[in-house]
Amino acid sequence: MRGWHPGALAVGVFFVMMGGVFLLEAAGVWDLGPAQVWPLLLIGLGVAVLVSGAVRGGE
Amino acid sequence: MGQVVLGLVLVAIGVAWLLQVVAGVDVRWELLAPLALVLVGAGVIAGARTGAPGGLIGVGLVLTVLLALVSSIGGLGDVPFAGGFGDRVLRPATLDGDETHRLAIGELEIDLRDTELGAAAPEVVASVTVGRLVVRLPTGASVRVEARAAAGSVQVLGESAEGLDVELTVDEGRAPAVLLDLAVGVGEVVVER
Repeated sequence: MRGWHPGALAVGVFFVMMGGVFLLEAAGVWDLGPAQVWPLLLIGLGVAVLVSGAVRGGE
Repeated sequence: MGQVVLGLVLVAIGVAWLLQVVAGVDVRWELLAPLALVLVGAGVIAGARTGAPGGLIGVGLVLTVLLALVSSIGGLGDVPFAGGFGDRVLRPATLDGDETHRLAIGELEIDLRDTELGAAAPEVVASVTVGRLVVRLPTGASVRVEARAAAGSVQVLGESAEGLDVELTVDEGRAPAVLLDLAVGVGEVVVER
């Protein structure tokens, strides 16, 4: 992963994940309530930070 | 790369918006917006080799916050985020069977004052996620109304309630000619003659 900007990569992964979550909700695959949205955002943010850390560690 | 994705996303949103305004196309924004977020994310990942594409990240953050808020509001009171945006006035000539009308953001007015009602009491289900829902009833027709607002106010034939998670049921007692099941996420429900 040499040459990747870890922060930008993490943000990109976060957007793709959250876009996927909201897309599935809009398509009726699952029903997100207010109680689930914000924890999911936090999980997405956590995964993005982990990806960013992994990229940094690999350099 | 970032500029290309940003440009494509903006053009797609603009074309969809134009089609909705000019040709009355029912654009499913609830699908388009998350799809745009996925594309923006892919663009950010693709651009991450050369640095942080600031413009795309800004657009992605705005979309994420908007979608999270909309999803939260849409979940309130079981009001679906569906039906598009804007102001809509419906004046059905007849009402023979059950009908469902949805609006995501805006004002939905259902004017039944000149509507010919069927023999069996039809049920009208209507919701607005954020905005105002107005139903105008014909004089002389008895109704049963169930109206609720997750946050806002409900005014039904002289009775009113406001606050969080408010609900009003008005049953005029006689065999109702129309059943109304009305809901808003954030906003106002008004039923009047």
